[in-house]
Amino acid sequence: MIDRSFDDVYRASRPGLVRLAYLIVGSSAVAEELVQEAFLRLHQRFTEVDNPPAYLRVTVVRLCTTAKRRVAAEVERERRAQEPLTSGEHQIDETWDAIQQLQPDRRAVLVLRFYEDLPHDEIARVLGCPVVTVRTRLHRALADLRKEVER
Amino acid sequence: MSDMEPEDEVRRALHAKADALEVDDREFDPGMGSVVEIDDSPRRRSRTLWTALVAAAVVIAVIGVAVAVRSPGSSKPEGGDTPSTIPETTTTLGMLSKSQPAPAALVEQVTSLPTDVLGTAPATASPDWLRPLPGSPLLTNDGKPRIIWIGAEYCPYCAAQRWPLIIALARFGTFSGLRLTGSAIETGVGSPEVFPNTQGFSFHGATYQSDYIDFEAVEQMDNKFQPLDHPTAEQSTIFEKYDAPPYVETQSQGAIPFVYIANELFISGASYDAGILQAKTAQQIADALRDPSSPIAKNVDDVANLITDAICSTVGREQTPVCSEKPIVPLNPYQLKG
Repeated sequence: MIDRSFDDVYRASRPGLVRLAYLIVGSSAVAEELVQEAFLRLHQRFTEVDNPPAYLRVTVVRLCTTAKRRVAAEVERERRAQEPLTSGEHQIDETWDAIQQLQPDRRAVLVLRFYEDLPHDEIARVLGCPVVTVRTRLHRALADLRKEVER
Repeated sequence: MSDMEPEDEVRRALHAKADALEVDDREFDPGMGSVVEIDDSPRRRSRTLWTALVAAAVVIAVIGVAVAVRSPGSSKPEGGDTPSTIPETTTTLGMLSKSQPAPAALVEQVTSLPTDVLGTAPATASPDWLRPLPGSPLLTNDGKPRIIWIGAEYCPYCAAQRWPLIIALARFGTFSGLRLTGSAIETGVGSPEVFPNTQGFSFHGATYQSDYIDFEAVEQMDNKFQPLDHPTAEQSTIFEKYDAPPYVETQSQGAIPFVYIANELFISGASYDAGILQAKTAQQIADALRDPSSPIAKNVDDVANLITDAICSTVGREQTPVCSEKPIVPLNPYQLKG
């Protein structure tokens, strides 16, 4: 039987985590699987984890950046299946497509900075890397993005 | 891009896509596992994090070397405040504690292995893990060849590789302030490490003094993936150049541990099977080093001899007594510039 408080965490956190994962991996199906994996890991050690939401965010982001290449096929399939946005939202699609071309670790930094609005030191904690690395990845991600859009 | 700032465009696109995503409210099913393949093996993760770290260091030029002896007499006396017993690095809950000072007796035991013990290790004729860099000028500091270590406390391969490296370096100089630690139990994403809690030393905060060589060590993170040391820009450049194709295979690019021997040779990854140290305490490993029949002695002592020989090829064999001692002379598979 699932612990009640775990259930609470699951219901409260899952939608946001799926969206977070989706922004990093670019596929809702893959995002849901990775979030499920994160909850499985939390479930196995729920009583030992002090801050379940923080644990989940770290786990989901790191799973997203280490999911293997076959994710790419699923992302492409979903991208093709999506309805094109209206002309007014064309810019959003263009930026989104460019974000999807970035390396996973750079994509993760962009999402944590511009979607989650996390400061650099918090992003470093989530990704398990030094703050200088975060700054560099962010700088390079934006530079890559400009090149991708101009292509 | 449009007239908007790139950051604003990214923010707008991400929020639009997230808002447009419909997420169902399914119940949690503990029996439903993920089918997505996840590559979070320790070696792979080490490579990913490290590559990013050194890239950052090139830009920021952070200076923070754990061990870099520049002048004789700068080290503290051995074992000044070290405990008399070996500290536990694992609690009953299986969670790792931070590194702790290594007992002086243990350090002494490892750094003073008799040459007759080392001489019994089987000699590997031409190990593929020792990679020569022929034709390169020696990298020195004040005339002393520079040995550079890049590793991390969480990494079990680093834990394994420090044993023979310390034995080899101790033949040329003296360590102070070595600490004991265990490699991580879990990867950064919560899956079990291949070789969890591998026991050994850490170079973080230690110093090394030698008349023959210069040793610089960078331990990038502790066993809980918290940052420790940052490489210099020069160290980062060396790492990025040589721990990458064509010097190593593509799949090994950026792997740690990385040992760079004065522009003469380098080692990427562990030089023996780290699994032979599993479930052993540091004291048990140290004891095994003196037992020629143990797999630990056969592997670690052999690697230590070969690293010693590699260092000898940079320091001038005639001027360095240890390079004339057995078993260094009989091994000597390289004969590079010695």
